[in-house]
Amino acid sequence: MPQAFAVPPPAAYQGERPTQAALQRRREQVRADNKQALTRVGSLVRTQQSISQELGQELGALQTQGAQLQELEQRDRDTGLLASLVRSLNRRQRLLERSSATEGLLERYQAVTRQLGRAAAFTDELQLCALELQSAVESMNDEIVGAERNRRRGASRLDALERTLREIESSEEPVAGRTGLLDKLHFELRHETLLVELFEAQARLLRAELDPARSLRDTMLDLYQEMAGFVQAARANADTAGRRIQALGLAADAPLVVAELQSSLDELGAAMQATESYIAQTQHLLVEVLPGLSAQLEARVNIEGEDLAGDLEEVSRERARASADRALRDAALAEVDGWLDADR
Amino acid sequence: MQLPDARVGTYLRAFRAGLEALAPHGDYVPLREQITLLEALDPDCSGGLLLPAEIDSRAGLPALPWLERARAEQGQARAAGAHADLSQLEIERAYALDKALGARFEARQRLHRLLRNHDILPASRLVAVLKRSDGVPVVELSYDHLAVGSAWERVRLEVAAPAPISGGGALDVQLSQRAVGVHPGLRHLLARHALTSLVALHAQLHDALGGRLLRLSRSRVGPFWFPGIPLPRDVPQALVAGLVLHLSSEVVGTEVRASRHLDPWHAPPAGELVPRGCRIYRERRFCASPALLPELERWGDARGVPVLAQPLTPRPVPTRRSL
Repeated sequence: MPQAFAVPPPAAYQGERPTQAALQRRREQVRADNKQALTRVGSLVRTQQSISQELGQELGALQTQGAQLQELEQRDRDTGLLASLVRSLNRRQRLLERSSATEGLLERYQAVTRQLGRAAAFTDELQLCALELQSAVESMNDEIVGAERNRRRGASRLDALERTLREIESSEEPVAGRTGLLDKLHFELRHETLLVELFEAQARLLRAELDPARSLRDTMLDLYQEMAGFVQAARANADTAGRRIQALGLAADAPLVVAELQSSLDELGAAMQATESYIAQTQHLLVEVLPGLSAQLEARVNIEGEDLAGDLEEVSRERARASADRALRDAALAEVDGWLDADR
Repeated sequence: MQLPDARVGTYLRAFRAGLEALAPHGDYVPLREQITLLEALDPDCSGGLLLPAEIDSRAGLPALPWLERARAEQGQARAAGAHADLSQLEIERAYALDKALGARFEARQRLHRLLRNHDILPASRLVAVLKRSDGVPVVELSYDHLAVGSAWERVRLEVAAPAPISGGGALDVQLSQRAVGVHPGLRHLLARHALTSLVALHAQLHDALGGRLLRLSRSRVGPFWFPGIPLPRDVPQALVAGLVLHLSSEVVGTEVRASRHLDPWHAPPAGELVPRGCRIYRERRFCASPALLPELERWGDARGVPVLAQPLTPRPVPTRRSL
């Protein structure tokens, strides 16, 4: 009775099986997406800079206007004969000055509030951009995980094919349909090897493109978080000033309110300092981080002739074994990494 | 004081119900602009975008920072125009990525549509119109602003044949164009005299404008008392148990038929010198929780003043204005 051997069943791959052309297209698409995201991030950083600068200017103007009011109050408090005489002579003029200072303060406060409203809306745009970049990173990660899983499944089938081949080759008994079976197994081995290599290439190319995508996402996330914190703090300071400005209408309480206003305007000074350091930080993003990312993307584009996977014709049994070994070794390493990560 | 977020909608809708019940006339800041402002502040329209809801504890009305946030959004909405609105698809995309962010985008969209198409009360506004151009020209001036104690105030006056700016006046009447030029100092003068008594303000404006001041009114929306607001010491403390919205107005002019005082809270200033040929009418109207109406009646009786009050009844949540 001749011995019966069967071709091991096909691997249960998930998703579409990659091809050279599809991988090439995917690589180009990821690079185009990254480049587009970089342009968007650059434009958002520039808008953010202009909003912060304008907000800083308005906070400064509000503080200056408050200082004028403080000066008027100080003159009112001056004792001494000459000061009293000048005060009585210029009473009407001072009333006008004071009224103008208060009206001016209100106008400046309105300008600050407008800028803060614009900044708050812009913060939402930053958050949306950060979330979209995160979503792109997540889908690349999912693709990598899927490619690695398929690679492991392919490697197991390569093992099974190789085992069957060896068993047939070393069999001392006659094997039913030996020639046809060997031919089929050789074809399957080469075909499967190519698939495993394509999955490997898919994971490799996505990993390579993942870094710039992650950097962009992190840049945007930092920008969003800092902007959100900055707007919140500036709004709290401006609101305190707004409450004081509203209270200025009460003439009887004016000196007390002006004193309180001064302290809230001092707090605005802190908000202005925060604005300045924030602007300096985004300047760093503009002149260093973003060009660096841009160069990184350009460098990836310029890697010419990078082979994604070999041709079907060139696949040998050694190469099949090597592919399977590599896939299984990578899977084992990933598993160990997973344990180590869990222990940390 | 800051209203808890959960109470903001209730507060605004009660305020709106009071305003609609009292139906302030043209001596007050425009009702439509007040209603739109309240709609904009309502989280039902603007979500959490304009929060926290700050209340001026003296008047029980929205404080300047809260109001200015709505005005700032209006500035943005009008500057950006309708083409800047996000598409439904973009909003849905934001929702899919983060529910809170999607809700903010949607609220901003709703708020901007409302504010782009409808006016809200400005922080300060002076409008002059030529009311009569045949014979002696008559100019009507309206000055709207957030008054001392955070009430919404309109000072309105009619002046016949005002002196031109070149002649030391504050108004330039251009009869052929039916237009009136206003000296910027007039607005400052009106702001400066926020606390001046009506009769003294009449004298100041008479000096500043020249001509004949036919009528001068000062009308306020507010205060709005509700539980949690400290009441002034000179009012019945039992009123703390519900809602009371005030509308007060004082008018001095030759066209006032009879001097009357219908304000149980503030007595007329002692020794008031009414301008010759003029009479003064003062009233304070209330919209209050039904349970407080007897208390208001007692207050009026104690002061010898009939009380003009109507019940503030809960009304259904208004359907959102079609945007």
